[in-house]
Amino acid sequence: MSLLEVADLRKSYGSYTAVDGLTFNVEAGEVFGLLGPNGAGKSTTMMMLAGLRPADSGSVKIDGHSFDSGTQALKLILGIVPQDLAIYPDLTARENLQFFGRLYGIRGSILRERINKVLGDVGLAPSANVFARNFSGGMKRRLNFAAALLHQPKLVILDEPTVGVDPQSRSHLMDCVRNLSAAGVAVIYCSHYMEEVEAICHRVAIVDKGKLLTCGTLAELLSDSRADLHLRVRGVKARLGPRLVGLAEVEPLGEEEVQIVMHRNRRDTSFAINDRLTLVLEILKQAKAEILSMETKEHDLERLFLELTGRKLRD
Amino acid sequence: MNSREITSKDLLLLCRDRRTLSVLVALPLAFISILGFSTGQLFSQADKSHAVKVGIVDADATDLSENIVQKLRGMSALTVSDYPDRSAARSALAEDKIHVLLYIGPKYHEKVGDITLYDLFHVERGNLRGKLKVLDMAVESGSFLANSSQIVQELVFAFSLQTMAPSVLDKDPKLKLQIARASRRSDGETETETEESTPAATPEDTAARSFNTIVYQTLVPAYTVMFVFFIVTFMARSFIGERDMGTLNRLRMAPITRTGLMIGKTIPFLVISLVQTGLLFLAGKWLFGMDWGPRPLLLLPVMFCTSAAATSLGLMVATLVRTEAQVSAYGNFLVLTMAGISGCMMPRTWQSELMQKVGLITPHAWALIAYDQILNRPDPEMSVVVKSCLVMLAFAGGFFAIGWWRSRDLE
Repeated sequence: MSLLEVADLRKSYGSYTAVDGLTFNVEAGEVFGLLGPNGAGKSTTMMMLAGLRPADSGSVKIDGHSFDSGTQALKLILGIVPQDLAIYPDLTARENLQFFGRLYGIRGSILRERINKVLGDVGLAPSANVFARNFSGGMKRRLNFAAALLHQPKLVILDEPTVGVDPQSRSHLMDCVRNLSAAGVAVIYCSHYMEEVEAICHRVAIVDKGKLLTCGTLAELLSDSRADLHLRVRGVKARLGPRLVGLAEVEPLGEEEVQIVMHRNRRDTSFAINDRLTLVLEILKQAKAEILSMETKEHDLERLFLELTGRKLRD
Repeated sequence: MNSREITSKDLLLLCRDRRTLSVLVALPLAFISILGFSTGQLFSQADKSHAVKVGIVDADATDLSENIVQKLRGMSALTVSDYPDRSAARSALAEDKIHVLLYIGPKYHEKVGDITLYDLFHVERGNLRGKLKVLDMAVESGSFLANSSQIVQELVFAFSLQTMAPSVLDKDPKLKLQIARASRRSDGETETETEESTPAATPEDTAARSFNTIVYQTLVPAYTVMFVFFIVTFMARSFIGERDMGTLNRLRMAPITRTGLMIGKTIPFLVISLVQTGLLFLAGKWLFGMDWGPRPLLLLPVMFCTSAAATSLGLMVATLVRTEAQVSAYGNFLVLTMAGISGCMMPRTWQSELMQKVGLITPHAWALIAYDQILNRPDPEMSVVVKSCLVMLAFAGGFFAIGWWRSRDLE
């Protein structure tokens, strides 16, 4: 049995479907990346996982418990690190942790020990008695993180935990996530930083428009996609762009040069890459555009993400 | 219960927020002081500044006229000054240096000499029917007492009668003898009474105290109630702060029920509100000499019920508004409007009957009714106080229920 089991989760707001039949599971000790562009349904999914919003249908089970059967007990095994800095600026780091710890029923020497431990884990022990308002962005993020760990949850949900922090704090936070994983804690990691997800997630799910587009280990996801073809051409984008619609994407490189990108797995065309390449070369010949270089580029998570979710700007 | 932790945390945060605390206590004190000053009341300045200034021109300058002047000088409610002639006194009256001018003409003693015992007892039919004019006296009032000119004339005439009566009675030898005997008996009784009992308050003392009572017995509770309800805006800001910071969601994710969360967020403000009320009433007593009435302990339930209604209203508003701007707009509008119609800004007794009835839709009005009963009545009617408290608790319950229901949508 997985620690988290999400089955056919759905949520709509009027006619808008925010989450459309999500199904996935997370094992104990696993770091699970949840990726998606803005408006993909990640936040709504996390709200439902945290019990803050009821699902229209489907089920969420954490360690065998569902929210229907006992919300209070379930909250004790969940730790949430929200994207907002959910800490009190007019309390010190220690006072913040004391408050959040007591909310979970931790008292006395156990609370003191745990506070000291998490302060040490996130590197805030020397600043324990400093008001949070005087912290840097990175320190606030680390305190925000620490507040979710006091009650020793079995599942931690991290929503953009490294937004706006310096590389040192980011690296420290990622080490903390690795340590949690090593201690058997399941982690759901939501981020727009693909290199972070690549670095720490065991499995990744990409969602868009409420649907699960793909899910698996990084190796599995990237093995499905093969290298794209990149042609550097002397020519003007305005001249070549309209002719290559549906075959390739044209990106300007300078005043005279453009890059023609041919994705192997385009979903908006029925032509195979070989046929498309033939057509593209023919168009370039007719346009008398000089090919300067041709190369293949291996896929990474970001390229896969963009390929699956598209390049269109999201609100 | 985890709501206790939220209460402790909010109390700590409120205690660190000096600006909020000062607004809750210093602002109402400033209001009471300013209004107290404007009505001529503050500390020992009260009686002096409120005394009526009388200018006297004694053209008669006999013992008879001097008796009137001495009588007037003996009144603490009056400040008496002498003027050599009528024109100088009139100038002072025109410049508002004095409020009343009393002119005692040179023929006063002669006119008093013409008065008989019959005239004293038949003022409307005898020689005194012309009142001050027949005694060669005149009273002129300035703008300060212009509307009360006739009352002032009657007062001066009453003083004249009081001072001329002995000289008129002295004209009858038998009556003079009887009066002397009665006077000796009375002096003996008075001495015995004085030894046995504590001195009674003079009429002047009573007058001064009652004026203080009217001002501060009304101002302190009225502005206390008004500012207690300003907690509404602070509560709403606290909720919005939690929401904006994201801590509200963190609280909702913690193992605490919605009711526990609401109670935890409400109690700190109830405590602050009670402390605020207590401080304002203490200040009212120490600074302004207000009287807590014959049964001061009755103030406690009224204070509690008022604060409960105010904080519950705060909870309701907090769950209805979405932004800081809405708190300022709706919160202040609500608080000021309720204060206005309830009688916090002007005494309820000055309001029309209709407005007094309309005011009863606010908890403020019920608080004021209870405070009036406790502070201003020699024997407070318990049923009125209990009814007011119950109505305020009903308001508190209603506001809390709406707030609790609305809190479903908090994010």
